[in-house]
Amino acid sequence: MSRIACLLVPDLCLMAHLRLNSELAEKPLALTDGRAGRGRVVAISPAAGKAGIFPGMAVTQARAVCDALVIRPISSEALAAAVSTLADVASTLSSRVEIDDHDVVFMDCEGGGLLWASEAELAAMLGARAARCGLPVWVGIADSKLGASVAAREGGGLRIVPAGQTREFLEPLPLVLLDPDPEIAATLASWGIRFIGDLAALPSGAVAHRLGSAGGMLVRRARGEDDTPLVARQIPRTFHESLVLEYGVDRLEPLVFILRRLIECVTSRIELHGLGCREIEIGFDFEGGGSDLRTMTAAAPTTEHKIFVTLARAHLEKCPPAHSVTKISLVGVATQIRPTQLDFLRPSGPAPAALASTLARLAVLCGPDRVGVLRRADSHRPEAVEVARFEGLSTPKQETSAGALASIRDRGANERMVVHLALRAFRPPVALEVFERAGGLDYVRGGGFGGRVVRRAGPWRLRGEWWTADPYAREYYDVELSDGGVYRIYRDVRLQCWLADGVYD
Amino acid sequence: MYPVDLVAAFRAVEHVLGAGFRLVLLDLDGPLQSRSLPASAWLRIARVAVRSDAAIVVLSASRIAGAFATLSLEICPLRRAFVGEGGPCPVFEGAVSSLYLRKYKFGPSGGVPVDLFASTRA
Repeated sequence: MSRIACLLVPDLCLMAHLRLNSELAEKPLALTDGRAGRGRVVAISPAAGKAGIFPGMAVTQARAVCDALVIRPISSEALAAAVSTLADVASTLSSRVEIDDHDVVFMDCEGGGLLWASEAELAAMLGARAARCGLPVWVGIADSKLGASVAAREGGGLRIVPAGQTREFLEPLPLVLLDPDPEIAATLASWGIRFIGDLAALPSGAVAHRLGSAGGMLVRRARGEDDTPLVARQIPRTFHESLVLEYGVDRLEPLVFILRRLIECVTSRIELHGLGCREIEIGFDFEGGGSDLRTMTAAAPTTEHKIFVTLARAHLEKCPPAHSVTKISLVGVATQIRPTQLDFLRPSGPAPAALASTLARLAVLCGPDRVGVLRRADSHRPEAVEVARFEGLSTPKQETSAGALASIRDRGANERMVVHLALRAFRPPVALEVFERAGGLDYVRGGGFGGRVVRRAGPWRLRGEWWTADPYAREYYDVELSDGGVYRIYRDVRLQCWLADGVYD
Repeated sequence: MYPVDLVAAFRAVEHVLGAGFRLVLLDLDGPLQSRSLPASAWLRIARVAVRSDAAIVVLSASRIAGAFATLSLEICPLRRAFVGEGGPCPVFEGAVSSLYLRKYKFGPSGGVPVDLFASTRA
């Protein structure tokens, strides 16, 4: 026999809104079905209820009753995000989770005995995790989805129906809990059937004969049987959050403040799945029409929202929105956090999570294009390199260090050590003034150095990419100057100018 | 990584040490060299290195870490080696230098320098 848990949020519209606007929790708040002060009140906060506001009131009427009333339009996107968050919470304890059409989440409790000692503990864990995500949740556990759903509604917080007793649990409850079609409900009422147990006692074939297939289905539901089995959803790879603002925001600080909350929601949801957030797309809807989409990529997957907040702030400071923002949409792209294999002979390096967050912080500090590993670019130019993503620590060849140690040990006392001479490259190349005399290089200056040419090597002529619109043709020299340094310089034959490529270190 | 300035470079070193790396190479010989840092910055970064059980190797044209360095090595160039001078195309072969131990907090400094040949072909 299967065991199903049902999670539902009471007053979902309100809670979905408060989840993103926690500062409104204590204020009188009314959600309306229209925008810009029109429409009717759909949901209210407890403070608004105390002020005399009730659902169904016109917005103008509600404003007249309570001056301090905060009125916001209801957001279907916020609702969907809240329900998805609830499903994410359930996914932390079960691999089979379903979101039904009524914004209720079901999870399969079978096979999770190692994760919880009892179903009461499971319900407590679900409640605590949902509360951390800003959603108060009611939990019901029974043998079927219907039983669990009714238990959650009737329990008002927590209700566990013992295994095999779902039908007995449903029998004394009113029929209206099965959400019957109004016409069928009226017919059943005329028959004197007001409780689920009364309907469950009727033969389903006879009821179906008189009320149609919907009647037969209702009888099966009254007996605690589900219409459809639990259909597990796929683990999402993108996580959406959005917020409609009451008025256009054009200043950076308030915008970042709002973004912080949205980013926190997305990263915490991704963390629930044990994944890391690699990329965040931020969409802005502007007052008077128009939109803008920004993409922020972390150097490595991370669950730290502060990193993305810093990235977003840096991005917005660089390119502020063109107009006042009235809606913010955020999509977080989740990916696996790369595990690393430790080396038996080497000391352990940074943990993958610490490395990921460090790379992201460094990207914020130095700029995303300044953190990574240098790799040769697909070009014939000698200076063609690109900054590739740092994917982790590579294992060095063991013989390298062993060989170096042996060479030092075996070297005689007066023997000279031979090492590789490095060229400290100037990027971009530094413009130079070069004076020539008698067909040779005489004096070089520019880029913070200069001197008479003492000795030189070269030239080496290099030309390439003549098949493109930007070919190059150069004459390279290694010159020792009177300042003591040895520099690699070249003459750009096409542009007729001298440049310093680097200094030998 | 390529920090934009010296302050960013020091903050980056702190981040890298905080992640658990045991060796950090900080190259201050270049565009970053022109700026100077107060001694408190070196003290702070030295403490971070001790706390992380890590080593920081600083490359610079002069001794900038001062009293906060545990070990100080100086490379003095002796001569440059050009091959084929006077010919049609001379080649820069490398540089001969001496390596001096200038300072060591836990032992004697000075001693016999080590000759180094930095070759372009090695």
